[in-house]
Amino acid sequence: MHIPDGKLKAYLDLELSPSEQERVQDHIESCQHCHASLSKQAARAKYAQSLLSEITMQEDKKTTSIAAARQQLEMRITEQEDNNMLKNVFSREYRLAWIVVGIIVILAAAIAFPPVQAIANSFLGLFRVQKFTVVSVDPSNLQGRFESANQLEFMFTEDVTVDEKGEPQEVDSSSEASALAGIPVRLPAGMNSEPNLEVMPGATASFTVNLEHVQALLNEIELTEISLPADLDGATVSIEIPSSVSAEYGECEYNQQAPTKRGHDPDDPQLMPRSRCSTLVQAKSPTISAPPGLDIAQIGNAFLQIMGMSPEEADHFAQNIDWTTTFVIPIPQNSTTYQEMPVDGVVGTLILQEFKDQETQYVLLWVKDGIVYALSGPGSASTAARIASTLK
Amino acid sequence: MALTAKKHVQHKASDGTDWFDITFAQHWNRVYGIAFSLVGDHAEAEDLALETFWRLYKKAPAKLNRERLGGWLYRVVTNLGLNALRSQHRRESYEQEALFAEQVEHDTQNPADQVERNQTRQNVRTVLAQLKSRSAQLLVLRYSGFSYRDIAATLEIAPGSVGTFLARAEQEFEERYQNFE
Repeated sequence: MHIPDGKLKAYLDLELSPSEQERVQDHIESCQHCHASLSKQAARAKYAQSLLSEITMQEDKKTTSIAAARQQLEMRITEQEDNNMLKNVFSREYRLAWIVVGIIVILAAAIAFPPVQAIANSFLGLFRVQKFTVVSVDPSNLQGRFESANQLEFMFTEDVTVDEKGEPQEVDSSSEASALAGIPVRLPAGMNSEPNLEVMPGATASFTVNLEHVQALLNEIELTEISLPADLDGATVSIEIPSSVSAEYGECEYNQQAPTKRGHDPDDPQLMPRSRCSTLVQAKSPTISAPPGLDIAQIGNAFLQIMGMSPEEADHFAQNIDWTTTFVIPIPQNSTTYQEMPVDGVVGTLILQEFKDQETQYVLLWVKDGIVYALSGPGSASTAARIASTLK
Repeated sequence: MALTAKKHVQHKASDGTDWFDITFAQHWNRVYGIAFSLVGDHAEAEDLALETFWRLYKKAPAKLNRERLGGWLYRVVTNLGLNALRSQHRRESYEQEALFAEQVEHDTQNPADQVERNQTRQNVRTVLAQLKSRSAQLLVLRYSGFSYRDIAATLEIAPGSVGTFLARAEQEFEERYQNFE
């Protein structure tokens, strides 16, 4: 028996226990083969060391003092936090990738990250989402407004509580997913691969309205003309997000960062790595409870104005929506289109984003029998219709 | 995507000590040193080291075992350094070779052996950039003075297999370097 290379290496580096060290030494003395291997390794290590120490032990290395470095880090932290704020507000919720993960996750994400959404959505006082409406907004308009919005973060941390009901869990079959999520899970037939199934447990978010905070925010973003009903103060709006099931087909890349290039917004959807997978998310309709007697149309109107509509447009739009059953999705005007289309026996909403190279990605949303479905992936309206028609 | 609310990252322990500051003071020099070894440029090394700590700052501390923070930091900085090295080489290999040739010709300030050393460093980095990530990480950590135990903790491999991986990495390095020369 000869001593394996790894052990010889550890012996050379004096990394074995004293008794092992001795045992190996004894063996080498009586084993010519091991002795030769050892010499070879020693030579190799010497070679590597002489070269690598050129870079690891470079004496002319400049250093930064700990205090100076710590200060620089502090600057970076401040800078990045500002940036994140911007990203949260201007771009994440407008990015198709967000919608891609489904409306349920949007709701959750709205609560989790972009505080403005949390507020706006809770204002809607939806009782149960039964349909979707898309409102096209100009995100460049929002950008200037939220640039210095410190109140959002404050309001979010002060007035919103989120109660999660566990961690996402991968499952092996649709029956297992059905049991965990408590809904009859349906999957498309005729996909090229088996799905990755994941059950995301639900969450409850409560927002206790502090009118002073809200008004401070509205002032800050220069929307002083929006008036909110006084009885909103102290009201608690809670959003119940049921467990959802997501089925992914193909290579998904949601969590990938866009390649960072100086001078480019890493959140620019045109630069995002595009997901090559199709995803179906399903969940019971989320519910939102708000105290009775609230003038929901008025709040909806405020929401639309925050999203960039003029007061007149918002007024018109708000009057024609049943805010108790409709979830309003703001989408950016540029490169994104939407339409209604028949799906699964009901009317669904299709959102399409076209990329600079003409490729399109779709999101198709619909509600049937109290279940919300969000289907998304690369392709067009017909891709979406084809996949949706095979649901079982 | 987790349904996680954005919570303020809490960096202070219950007794009021700021563990982040402590960790920073403890590890800054070494993290910077590794970044410098890899990229060989002060500004870039500083940027990478700051990025490493920034990532630590962003991470919820609950998700990190405090004892293993060091390992985490060194894993991140070696990764960042190697990535930087690779993209640097893709970007600059031609330019640098040209520049270097010029230096050799015109540089009367630097003694010849200094020029040669710089070339060696450049070559070592180029070879590291070509190795498998884990091999390159192992070599850099080892020759920065890490013990097998620290290497194992940093790269999340079994302590007993460090010798094996290291022997392989050295062999790979030697072969590549000789080819390169």
